[in-house]
Amino acid sequence: MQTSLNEPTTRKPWLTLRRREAIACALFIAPAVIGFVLFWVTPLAVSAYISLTDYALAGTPRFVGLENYQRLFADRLFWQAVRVTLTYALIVVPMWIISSLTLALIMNQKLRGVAAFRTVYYLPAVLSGVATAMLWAWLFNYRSGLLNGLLSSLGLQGPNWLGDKNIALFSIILMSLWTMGWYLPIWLSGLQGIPTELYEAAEMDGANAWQRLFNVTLPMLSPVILYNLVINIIFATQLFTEPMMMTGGGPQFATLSYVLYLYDNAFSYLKMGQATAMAWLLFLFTLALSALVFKLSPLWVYVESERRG
Amino acid sequence: MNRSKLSRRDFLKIGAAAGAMTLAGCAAPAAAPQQPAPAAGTEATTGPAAVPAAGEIEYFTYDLGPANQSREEMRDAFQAANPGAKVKVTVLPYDEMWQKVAALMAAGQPPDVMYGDFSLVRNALEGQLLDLTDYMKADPVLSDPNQFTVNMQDDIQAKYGTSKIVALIMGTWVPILYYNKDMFDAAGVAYPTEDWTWEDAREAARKLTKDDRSQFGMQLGTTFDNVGWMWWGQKPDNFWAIPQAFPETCNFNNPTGIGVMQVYYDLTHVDKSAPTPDEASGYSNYAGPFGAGKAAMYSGGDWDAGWSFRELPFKWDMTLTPKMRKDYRPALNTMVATNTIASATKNPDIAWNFIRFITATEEGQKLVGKGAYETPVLKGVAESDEVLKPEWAPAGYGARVKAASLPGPMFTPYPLNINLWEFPSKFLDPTVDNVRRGEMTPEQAVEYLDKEGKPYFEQQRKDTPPIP
Repeated sequence: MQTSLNEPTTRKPWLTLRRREAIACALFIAPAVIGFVLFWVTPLAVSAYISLTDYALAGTPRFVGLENYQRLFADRLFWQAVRVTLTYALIVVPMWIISSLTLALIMNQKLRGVAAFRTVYYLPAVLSGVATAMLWAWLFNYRSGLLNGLLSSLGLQGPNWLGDKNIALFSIILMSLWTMGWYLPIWLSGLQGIPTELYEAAEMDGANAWQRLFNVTLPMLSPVILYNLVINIIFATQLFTEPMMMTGGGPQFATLSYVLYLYDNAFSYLKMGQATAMAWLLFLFTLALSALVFKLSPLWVYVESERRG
Repeated sequence: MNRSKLSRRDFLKIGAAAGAMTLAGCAAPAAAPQQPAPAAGTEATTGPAAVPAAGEIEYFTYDLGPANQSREEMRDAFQAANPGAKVKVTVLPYDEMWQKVAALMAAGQPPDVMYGDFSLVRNALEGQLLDLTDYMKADPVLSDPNQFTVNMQDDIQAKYGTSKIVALIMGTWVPILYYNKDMFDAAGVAYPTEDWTWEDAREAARKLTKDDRSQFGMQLGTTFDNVGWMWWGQKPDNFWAIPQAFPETCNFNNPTGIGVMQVYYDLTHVDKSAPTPDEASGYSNYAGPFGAGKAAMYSGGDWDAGWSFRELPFKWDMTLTPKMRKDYRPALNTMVATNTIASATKNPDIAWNFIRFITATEEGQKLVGKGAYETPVLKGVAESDEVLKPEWAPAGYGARVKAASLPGPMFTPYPLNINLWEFPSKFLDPTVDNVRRGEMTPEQAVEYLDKEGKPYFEQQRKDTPPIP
């Protein structure tokens, strides 16, 4: 069919405004999507595959199905690493939350020089974990450490903080208190976001300090507590630097954390298959635990917008 | 393509060209590449090693403390003898080195040459180490077994578990008994001798131990130095054979195995003349209580002497490690330090010339002796006064050479397998630790190791790729 050049065309241009916007949108999000696929999805998929193989970084991976998982479940040290990590997490997660919240409540008072204290308590958060672990290894040193030196000056024989299998893990737990300042800004921002009218109303109703804490502060802080709880669970299950630098997982595997054993499998024994299988198990465990915490959160987390809704 | 065949062909071409030039009366150009220096008392080298080459190689070595300097001197001497060849020496912490090598191997970009122990077994099995068989056979020094204190060919094959030559041995390591002469003098106890058994050592240790735990008679070094005895008297020809022979013809629960555990148990738990693991921990100096002047004897490795003992603030000496029985000294578990070349190297000839320089030339071996981390293996050098009597060393320093030359096969302390450190770190070391703490008897310890070893070595057999 022929058409005259002078005839107005009724065909719509292909590049409509809608399409232009769609292309622009795709171009804008492309870097993020490509990055996500390249650096997240692909490694995840590769690691899932490696977890089903025997691979020692030498040669090519050999498919073994679920054998790595079976071997892990039959491995005594795997369960020891699980035990150590759970013990650590069960103690440090509440300890971190209670100690750092207590600290934040003190730091939230209008006291002279409080800004300096806030800075001091936050300092460990900006220090290298390796440097910190080395510092603590010296503090805990059985013979020449500061702690035992102080105890010795009082006429007491200090324990072998890192060499005694019965207390080595607890020494690391004790050390982890050092990092409580890390959560300080989060707590402080939560505390400073609580409307003062609530405290004034509670005071007018005759509530004392404890009642204000339990009936105003904690309910209003509960979303922050939820956030810190989830983050702390993740951090606690990834315990690595301290045992790696201070004890190497010893003595007698008393401080062999899950991630340290994962690292040993990957880089000391070159069992990449078992190491990635461990990584996947940890991921699924953390995911399940976080999901459980979120599932239970409506029972104790106060979200103002949901109440309004 | 076989690199060694190629380089032989290259060598023949160059040799033919050089011959033609000589016949034509041409003088060699001033910048002509030099051949590797021949070893003392040998003919000038022929074969692939003589191929002149220019380029740069990277040499990975782990941190050897004071001996790092000898590596740099080796590099300088090699470069002086081989103009055009450059060696970049990279020193890494021990653990980090193997992780880095593994990652670089997987990425196809390994270092050209790697100083090594047993950690490259898997790479040898996977064909990632250059086959040096032809190079070695063509070399007049390396192919002559009488030139060395070790059996170069057998020991390399036993160490790497292949039928090929994938490394050159540059030095040996042996267990040694060190002693603090000041403590022996103060206690009026006679110095240890080469004829001592562990019973003699135990008796002396009792006399040298103080009740207040401020001085111990004996410090047992890491299990690395000692558990190799457990395999003495057993069937395997070499340690690679252990995973294959376990537990049918080789196990822990045998008189020697129990005997070794008994040494740990008696000294630490019964006599209390050796520090427990707790008491031995927390020392910041090298070699723990012995280095700190708190232990009269130390059963360690001969590398300790070169590492930091030259600066000890007390009089010390060394002798052969005690015998298990009075009339019986089996071959000591001599270990070998090697250099390997990655198959992926772009400069195989320079790499070969470099490792050959360290192993098969007088100059290279003297530098090994000077570093004192390993004992040289080239006979003329190993037995020279320069190596046996350095100015800082005590009179008994030659014990390390004597120990290395005792007859017997090369032994490594651990059964070789593809995950070398797994069995020792998961089972052997913790078990010895339990014995030292008195939490296990020697009998319980060997029974436990057999029980754990059986499934472990079965799995190793299953996982091991075919031996090339």
